[in-house]
Amino acid sequence: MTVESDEALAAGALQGDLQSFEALVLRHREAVTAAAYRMLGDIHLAEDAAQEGFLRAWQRMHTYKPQYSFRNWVTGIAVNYALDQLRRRRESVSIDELPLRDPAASLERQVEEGERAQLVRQAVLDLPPASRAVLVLREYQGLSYAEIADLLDIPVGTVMSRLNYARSQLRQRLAQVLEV
Amino acid sequence: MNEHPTDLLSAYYDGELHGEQFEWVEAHLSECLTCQEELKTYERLSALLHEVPVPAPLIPDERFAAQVAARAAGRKNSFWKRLMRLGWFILPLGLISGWAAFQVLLILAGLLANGWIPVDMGMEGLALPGWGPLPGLGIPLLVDWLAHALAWPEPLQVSLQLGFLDLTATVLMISMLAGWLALWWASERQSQLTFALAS
Repeated sequence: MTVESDEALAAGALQGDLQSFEALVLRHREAVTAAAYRMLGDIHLAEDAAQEGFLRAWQRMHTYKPQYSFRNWVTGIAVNYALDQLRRRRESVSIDELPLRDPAASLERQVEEGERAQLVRQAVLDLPPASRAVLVLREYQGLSYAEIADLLDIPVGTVMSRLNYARSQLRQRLAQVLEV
Repeated sequence: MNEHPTDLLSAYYDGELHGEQFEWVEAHLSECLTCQEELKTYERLSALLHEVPVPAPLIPDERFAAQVAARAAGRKNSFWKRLMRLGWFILPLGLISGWAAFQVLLILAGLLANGWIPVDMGMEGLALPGWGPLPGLGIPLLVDWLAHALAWPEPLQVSLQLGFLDLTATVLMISMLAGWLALWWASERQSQLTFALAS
C-alpha cells in the first residue's frame, strides 16, 4: 500500500475530497495539538484549537502555498487561533484567571513531570501571547523566521524582536535552572 | 571590545543572520567570551524547553479526525463558496467599473452635444458618420423643464441633463458601495461572534 504524500493529499483536499483531508488530519493532529498546548497550557483547549485550526485550513485550502509544509501551515493557523482566544480572554478576564495549569493533569503526573518541567512550562505560559506564539513556532516547530512572519502576518523584524524578547524573559525566569 | 551584539545573538543562534550582520557577529564571537557563553545559554534554554512534555491527547486519533471531518462537511468548501467569496469582492469592483463606463458614455454624449465631435445633425437626431441615428438625449427631467422655462441654449440643456444624470449615478454608486461596506462589516462581525460563541 502506498502512502500518499502531503502534497497529493492537500491537492485532493483542495478539490473538496474530505477523505484526503481526513488523512492529513490523522497525520498531523499530534503536532498541531502539541503546538496549541504550548500556547494555551490546557489539553482540552489545545484539542479544540487544533480542531478549529484544521477546520479553518479546510475552508482556506485555496490559500495554501505548497512551498510550505502542510503541517507548518495548519500549525500556524491553530497557533493564530489560540492567540485570538488568549487575546479575547485577556480582554474579558484577569490574567490570573487564565487556565495556565492543565486541569486535566493528574497530581501523579504533575509529580512525574517534575518541578523543573513545571517551572519551564509556567515560564513559557507567562510570556505575552504574541511572543509565545513566535517562540512555539520556532522552538517546537522549527519554522524559519520568514515562515513565522508569513503565518502570523507580521514583519520578519518583529519575529526577531519577539523571539529575542521571549528568550531573554525565559533566561531571566529560568536563570537558576539554566545555571545548573 | 566592541559593543555586544545582544539583539542579534538569538537570530544568529537560529541561523537567520546573513551578510554583514552575520560576519560582524561571527567576528565578535571569536573574541568575546561573554557572548560565547550567552550563545551556549540559548542551547541550554532550547534543550530545557524540549524537556516539557505534552499530555497525551484526550480524544483518540480516529475520533478526532472523524469529528473534524464531520464539522468540515458542515462548513462549505465548494466551488460555489469560492465563487460567492469572489463575487462578494467583485461586486464593488463591478459597481465602480459600471460607474466608470457610465462616465465615459456621458463624456462622449457631452462631446457630441457640444459639437466637438463631427456628426450629422439631421431631423432624426444625432448621427455619427456611418453609424446611423443615435437615440435622442431628451430625458424628461426637472432640468429639462427648467431649461425650456429659462430658454437655455440646447447644448447647455444637454450638458445640464448629463450633469444631472452623472450626479444621480454617482450618488447611487456611493449609496450601493456604502451598503456593501455595511453588509461586509456585519458579516465579519457575525463570523467573529460565531467563533467566540463556538469557543
